[in-house]
Amino acid sequence: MKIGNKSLVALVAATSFGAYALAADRPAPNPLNNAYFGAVHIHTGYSFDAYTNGTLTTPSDAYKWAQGEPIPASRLAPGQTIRIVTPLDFYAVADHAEFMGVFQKMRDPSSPLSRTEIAKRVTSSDPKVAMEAFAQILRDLSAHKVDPAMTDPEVSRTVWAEIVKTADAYYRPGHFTTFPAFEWTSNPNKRNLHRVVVFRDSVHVPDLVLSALDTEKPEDLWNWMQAQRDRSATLLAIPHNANASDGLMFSLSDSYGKPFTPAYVAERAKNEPLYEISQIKGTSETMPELSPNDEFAGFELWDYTLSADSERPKNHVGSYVRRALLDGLSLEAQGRGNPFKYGFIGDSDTHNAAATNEEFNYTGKFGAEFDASHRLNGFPGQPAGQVQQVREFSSGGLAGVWAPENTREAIYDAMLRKETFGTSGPHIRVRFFGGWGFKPADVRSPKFVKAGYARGVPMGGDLPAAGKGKAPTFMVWAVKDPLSGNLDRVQVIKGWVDAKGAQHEKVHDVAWSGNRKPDATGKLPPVGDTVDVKKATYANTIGAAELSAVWKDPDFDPALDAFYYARVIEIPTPRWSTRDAAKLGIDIPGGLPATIQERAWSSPIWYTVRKPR
Amino acid sequence: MTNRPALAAWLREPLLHFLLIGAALFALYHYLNPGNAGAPREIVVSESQVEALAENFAKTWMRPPTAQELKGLIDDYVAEEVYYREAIAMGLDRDDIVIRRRLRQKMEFISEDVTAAAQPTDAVLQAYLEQHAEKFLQPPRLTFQQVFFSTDRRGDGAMRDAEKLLAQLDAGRGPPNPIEAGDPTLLPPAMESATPQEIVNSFGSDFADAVERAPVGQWSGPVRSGFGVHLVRVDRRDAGAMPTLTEIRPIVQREWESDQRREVTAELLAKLRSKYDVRVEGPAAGLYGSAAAGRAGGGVP
Repeated sequence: MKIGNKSLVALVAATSFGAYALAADRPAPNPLNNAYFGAVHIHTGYSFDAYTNGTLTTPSDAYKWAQGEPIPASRLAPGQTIRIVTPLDFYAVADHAEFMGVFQKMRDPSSPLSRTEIAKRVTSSDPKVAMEAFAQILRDLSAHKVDPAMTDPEVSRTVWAEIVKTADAYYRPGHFTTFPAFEWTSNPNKRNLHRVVVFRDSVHVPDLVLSALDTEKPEDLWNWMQAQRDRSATLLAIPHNANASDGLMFSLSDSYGKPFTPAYVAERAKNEPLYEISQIKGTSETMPELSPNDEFAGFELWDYTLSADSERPKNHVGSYVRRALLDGLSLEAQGRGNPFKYGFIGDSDTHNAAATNEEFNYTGKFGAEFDASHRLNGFPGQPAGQVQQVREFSSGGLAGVWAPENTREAIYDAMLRKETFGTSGPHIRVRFFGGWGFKPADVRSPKFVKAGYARGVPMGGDLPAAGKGKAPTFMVWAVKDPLSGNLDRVQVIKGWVDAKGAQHEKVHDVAWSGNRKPDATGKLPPVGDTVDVKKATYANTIGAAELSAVWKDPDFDPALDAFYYARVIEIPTPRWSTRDAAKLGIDIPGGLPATIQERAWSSPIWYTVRKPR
Repeated sequence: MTNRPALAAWLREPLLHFLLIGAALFALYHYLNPGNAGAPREIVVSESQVEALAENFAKTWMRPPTAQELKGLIDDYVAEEVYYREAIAMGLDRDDIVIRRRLRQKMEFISEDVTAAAQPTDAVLQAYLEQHAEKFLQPPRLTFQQVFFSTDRRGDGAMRDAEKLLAQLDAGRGPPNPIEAGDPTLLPPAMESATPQEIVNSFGSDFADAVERAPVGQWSGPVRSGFGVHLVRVDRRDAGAMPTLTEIRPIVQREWESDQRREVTAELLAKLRSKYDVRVEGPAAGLYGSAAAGRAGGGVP
């Protein structure tokens, strides 16, 4: 078959899903690494809370969606489908280990099962009732109340085996990568300690995975992971939603309230190389209360604990990763090691198989939010606080990795060495190298990537020992997503701890679009705003397609530990809720921002003073 | 002779497997539980039961339980057995949604296992491949290089500079590595065996459409994208085609199994349901037609 005219792209997009690449088409590995985008935090109807909220999808559906196939949208919208516009490179279904699969088989409305009270609620056609059932299950899980019939290991094992098998069935090395994964859903007193656990291969996965019903303590999870390594598994854990942990995720004491031991620090650092910085339940980089001098700190915050009862956390310290990176430096400076040496990814946490990272194509976290009016206005009678929580959901984030090829091994290894970045959803690519001698001309050379690796370390790395009298230099490159907004600016965020032990952070603008000049205080004027809120449109007439810079730290002190990461900011574009409001012809409800500036965060590069031990 | 293919087909019939498994389970149950012998109020935790408890613990924690942990496991097992017997005696299982659903799920898993056991022949998969050609059509693939001229950097000069370089290349006077004559970029300087979708993902659809039409083996352009202006050199173009079954057998089997699983589960339910006389009462009876006076479906799938 030969096709060669203009309609080819559309034809292929409409008919072939690109999912069935032949092994012979596998591209050669690129030693300078390619950017791959994906998500490893995906729930389907096999998760205990997904079914109750209108989700019908299976792990197969998830892998089909990521590759561009349409899949069923929702129990509440029979016959309708959801579909991604820009397919992803890698994907992992990580259903909750708790009650794996128990709700999935409840859906037959002709079944006499639906006579009973729980079934009436869980399978209710009234989404408000189903949502309330979900809230009840979360409350029970937090209070350690569990119906023993819901945790039959025999059925859990079958469901886990099914998840692993499905991941294998959709893995196409070189074109589309899948991983066996699950989520450990520890939730003591509604404080989120969740971790997604990802396996490098499917050969050494266990028969049973660990659930929060087995233990709620991260130390136990790490012990369990070590036991898996002892039987040749390779796996890592990725914590998320510290913002919903009320200060517990990055608390400075262990699960027993004791100060960290060297073993705790070593285990945490070994098992958890990455942190999920952005997802549907908000970002957890930082917030204005913690970073008052960061004008971009108030981005897609979701300030609730993990309950459906719209409870607010009391503690923000311990809930955001920038402060955790600083606390890691403080501990390191005290000679206690760094348990919080996190690289970054973005991810989804969808409960409907589809990551919904595309702001213009957002279809909600749960199946029940498929309808724009439902996700914006809630259901009749739904508590106002719950409606607002759903409105404040962000669209899904994305994980970016720099890896030589699209295989399990290459992508997992990039995650392990933290050569990763997170985005709030768009396919923004960012390169970030640190070294002692980058010159402005380096970034203007087509060989800048080669120079970056040859004379520096990539994102996620450690700067080698300081040259005498030198300050570190950083080379950064960012390119926009062809289907999203242009770029406003690139920033380098530095955190350090001074000789008296005080923590500092500073945001440096290092590259920006147009001819803007910083004012006397160093503040760069805003990029502007082309958004038409009523129509929910914008124009790429401002901003830049690509930005790059070499930046030298002007305040470097070789005696002080520091970290540096890059943040790339887009021009303002309409938030999903603005697009929904325009579609429905209503005003934006709930005080939501009309526009957002989407962004990407590189993993940090650390400078650590060599201390005599 | 003519019976042989029919017999073979019958042996592959999932319902037969299902019934055989059911019969085997039934026989095994009665062998292991001869007449419910023993005192009704006796709970015996056999040595093999204790071993099973310890093994389950070891599977999770990769070490055997301590004596204290083992006693905890046994106590828990005894408590569960006591509650289980009392609950069954009180009939608490009968209207419990979770128990009923779990049993239903086990039935469905059995029927899915039956599907998984079925090995489709090449002929079956070939027919499936032909019936669902749209699922398996291979997109065309391109291998190309591109030189980038940034409009952020050069403004209108980007187009002029691209045309100038193209003229040099056409005249055989171009630089040895033309990519270095352009601007540095994070966009890939080259793509290998890329599908149209993969090109769109990096460069946008205007560029992808243009590069699909570009001649093979020479520099061409300039081509516009959302980033700037490009010259492209397509080194190889593989037209889209239908793969043979041999090339993609595991994928065809995966898709066939996924369809088959749905069908077999529905078929088994229909056959099991035909054993029952289902009657729907009240106004909802009308949903099943008046002729059957509320007979709900019978054996109709």
